Amino acid sequence: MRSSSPVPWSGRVVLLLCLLLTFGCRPSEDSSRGAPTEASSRSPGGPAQAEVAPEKVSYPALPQPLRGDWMKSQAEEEAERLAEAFPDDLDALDLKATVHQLSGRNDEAFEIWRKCLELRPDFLRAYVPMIRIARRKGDYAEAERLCRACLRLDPLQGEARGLLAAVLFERGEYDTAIETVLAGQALGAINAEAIFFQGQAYQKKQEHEKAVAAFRDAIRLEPNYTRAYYALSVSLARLGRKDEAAEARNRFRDLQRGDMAANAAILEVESEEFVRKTVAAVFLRAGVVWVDRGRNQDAERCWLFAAVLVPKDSASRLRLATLYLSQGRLGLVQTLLNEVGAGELRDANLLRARGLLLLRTARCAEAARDFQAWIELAPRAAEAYALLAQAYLTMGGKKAEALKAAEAAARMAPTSDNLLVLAIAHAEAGDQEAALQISQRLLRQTPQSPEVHRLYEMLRSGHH
Amino acid sequence: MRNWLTLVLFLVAIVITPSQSLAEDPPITFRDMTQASGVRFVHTRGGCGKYYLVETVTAGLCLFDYDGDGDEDIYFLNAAPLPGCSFPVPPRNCLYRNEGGFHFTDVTEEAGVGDEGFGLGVAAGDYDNDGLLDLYVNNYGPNVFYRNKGDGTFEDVTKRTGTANGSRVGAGVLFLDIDADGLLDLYVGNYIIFRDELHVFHQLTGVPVYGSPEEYEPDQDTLYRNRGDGTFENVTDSSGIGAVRGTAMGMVAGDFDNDGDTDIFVGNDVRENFLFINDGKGFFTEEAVERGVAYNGYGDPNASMAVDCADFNHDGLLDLYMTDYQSEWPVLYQNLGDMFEDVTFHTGAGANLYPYVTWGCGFADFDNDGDKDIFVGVGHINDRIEELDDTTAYRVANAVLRNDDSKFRDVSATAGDLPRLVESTRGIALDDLDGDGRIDVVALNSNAPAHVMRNETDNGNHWLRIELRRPDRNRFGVGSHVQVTAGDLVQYDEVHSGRGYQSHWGTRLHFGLGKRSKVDRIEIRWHGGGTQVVENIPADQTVIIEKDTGWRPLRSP
Repeated sequence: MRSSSPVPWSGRVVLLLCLLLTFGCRPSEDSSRGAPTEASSRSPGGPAQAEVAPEKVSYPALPQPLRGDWMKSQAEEEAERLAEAFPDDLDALDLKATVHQLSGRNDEAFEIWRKCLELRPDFLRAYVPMIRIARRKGDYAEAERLCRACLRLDPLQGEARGLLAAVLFERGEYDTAIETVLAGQALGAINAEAIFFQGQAYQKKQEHEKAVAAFRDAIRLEPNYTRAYYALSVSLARLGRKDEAAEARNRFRDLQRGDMAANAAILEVESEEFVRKTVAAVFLRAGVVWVDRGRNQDAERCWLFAAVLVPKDSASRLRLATLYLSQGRLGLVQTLLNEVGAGELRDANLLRARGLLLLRTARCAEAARDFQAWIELAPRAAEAYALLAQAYLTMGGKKAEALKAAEAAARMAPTSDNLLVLAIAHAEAGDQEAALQISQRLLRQTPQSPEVHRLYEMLRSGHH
Repeated sequence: MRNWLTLVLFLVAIVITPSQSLAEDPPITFRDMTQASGVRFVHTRGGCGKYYLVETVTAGLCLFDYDGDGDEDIYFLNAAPLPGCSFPVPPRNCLYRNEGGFHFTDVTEEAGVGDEGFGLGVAAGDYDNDGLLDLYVNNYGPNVFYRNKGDGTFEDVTKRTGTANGSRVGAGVLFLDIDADGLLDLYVGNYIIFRDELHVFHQLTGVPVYGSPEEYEPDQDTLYRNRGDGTFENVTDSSGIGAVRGTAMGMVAGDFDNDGDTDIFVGNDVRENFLFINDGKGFFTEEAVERGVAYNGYGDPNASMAVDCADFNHDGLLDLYMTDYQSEWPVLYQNLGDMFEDVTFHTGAGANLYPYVTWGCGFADFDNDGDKDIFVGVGHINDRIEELDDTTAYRVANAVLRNDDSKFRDVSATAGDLPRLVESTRGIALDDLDGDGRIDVVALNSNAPAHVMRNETDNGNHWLRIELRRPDRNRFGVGSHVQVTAGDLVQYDEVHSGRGYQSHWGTRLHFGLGKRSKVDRIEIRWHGGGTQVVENIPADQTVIIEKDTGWRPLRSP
């Protein structure tokens, strides 16, 4: 029953999934260009669109020389602007607190996060930085209280459990430190730092066999855990296991040499460079908050500033490109993609974003490479397989590979979107029967979905 | 009924006694005597806005009895103008003679010890065995060796002794007898390889900050062996000391493996510390990692600043206390015999100090209760740190941690004037300046006046101070072990020369005795050989114990 389909399936699938799998970008409300047009968003990009000429991106001019205090003031003003626009918005407050903390005003940051918790007691994101501030100030009672409050809300919050173990250990409450880690483990909370402090507590109690087991567990979770190797060598030495102790000590020294080299490399970076990156990260986040609240112009302003601060930064450029794509400004998208370049990205989110943009500007082979790289980083990312299948389908000539990727996506996550891709892949591969079966299943699962109805009708007409 | 009442009262007494007892202990109390004492020393860090790293690490000080009159005099180090900087009056080191009654007189000029080099570390020791304490000053630049002539003046013997040590960035200094030949040798710490032209100006968001030692190459320390003819031989390489390079700051020598010879602990800034174990003949093997003192208990290389040693838990072994940077705990290393353990947390020895940069530190029994408390100098390296981080501060009150049964409590808040003396301290030195049996404190504050604090702790506890004397060699018994037994209280100490933050104090050993009015037994294991026992010494006096002779009061009644 296999026959080649007369229907351009792939374009529709790309349209569908690209709408579903957004990259933090919503249709513009305040953009002078208005919301993305039907044509621009519904066209994945044929040969004509791929040839859109790059346009110049309007990056803001920076004062010269660029001073750290000026950059810092820009970040502070932006955070303030956001907080004024959205006074009770947790994301805006969170960003303002972060900027205060980066500026060394930890007390003010702490108070803002406290306000976040008053607004929403389960705002988990506030806890860890608050705990860190309390600990840094030596207020261990407050740090412990916050750790426990956080863990009451989310017993699996690994960082808070690690910090609680650290706080208890450093207060000399070894038994309680051990208990809190064991309690977490019973709930399935596995955190290398927490286990390290459990081992430290055993070590101080002279229970070195248990300490060795804990340190080995921590190393299993984090194979390059420098501190754990040191502690392991100490407990092994106390047990008289000299050869093993020496082995652990040697591994510790190797890792520590690496740590010191990394520290030295950080020191070599001029501090203004560090400020640039930090401020750019603030503006990147600020842009996300603005765009999530429909303020695309403000988001664009933030991302442009972040991009010009760090000329090699991919994240801000990909955000901008996504925004411009939603506005149909394809020339700018091309420019930004060119600026990001084809270089290797080591971040799954960035690979996803660039792949989507490439896919939607009909640079399918490049998109496929990004999705493959994403799969290498995250072999269980079903979405990556689904997008890879779409890239292959759009490219044409890779029908078998598309079907294989679509099957993997549907196997890992049998969502209606992934099943839709699978149905199309089957149809493209000539297996109309399989495609129809899946679409019938989809009709039962999501009877309200117009895309599914459209697919079903197409298959039926093609089938007949 | 009466029995029940008695039982209840008894139980209540058990429950409340420990805390009441602690609460009722008279507090350790320091009184600010700076103005009254006549000490007018003001430290100058030598910079003028260019933020050379060396500016923030100066300096140490020395408490020693230069004129042999039985009380401790004060020698402060000072910095020197760095390139592009000038001062109306050139900074110089200052010697204050103790006149008694907590009065001091500036005798720098007449003593001839006003070195105008960039001072970092200092120690006192009798290198020529004439019974007088000499001074070695470790500078950024050539060092200076002052020989005590015994008439209230010193002569510069740097060239004659061959100990200028080039033109390096110094750190702490130790006098010790590495090979038990009765001649004090000299360990000279070196911080980093630095010259003015290597300086890099740093600022963070417009705020100038000091750089890090990690930006520079580490340096070898220097070991000079005393030939006994007034000259020294550089034995850095042949002694094993030169096998490693570090970023030395504070250091202390002691018999850490309890084998009768003197070992050396060196705190390195943001690198692993060194523990040089002596083979008894003056050859050293670096064993800090194996013995557990290279890092803190987490395996982190701390920004080690100062270090002191004492037996805080009465087990007869020298433990180590080390200060470091903010967001690092000071570390108390308990000596287990063959290795050390970081016991900071369960002893409370880091109490309240985590947010701060900590500098000079020393063990001393401030309340004379028979165990060693800890004093810590506090203050950030960056004078504008508050603009970058409000969890810490540049000027901070110093801290005193009280030892009760080997657990430490921060009692600074109730320590008299201590909480209101807020500066950025570097070196501290601890000794009994007025002979009242209570350990006083002198703090050298960066770019600020020094503080002189009298210990006025009023608890009626008894004490004994001991000065060791040998007739021929190593005249002050540096490196000798002393065990003092008073009833059930057994204490142990050792004579050190150079300790804390690049400083010196404690040539005379001080022992608190609690309510015990006499010492039953003192056993001295003389460095270089020989054990001596003296018995039945009344408390509350300073005694001189001469080798193979006996004891006598420092001052006749």
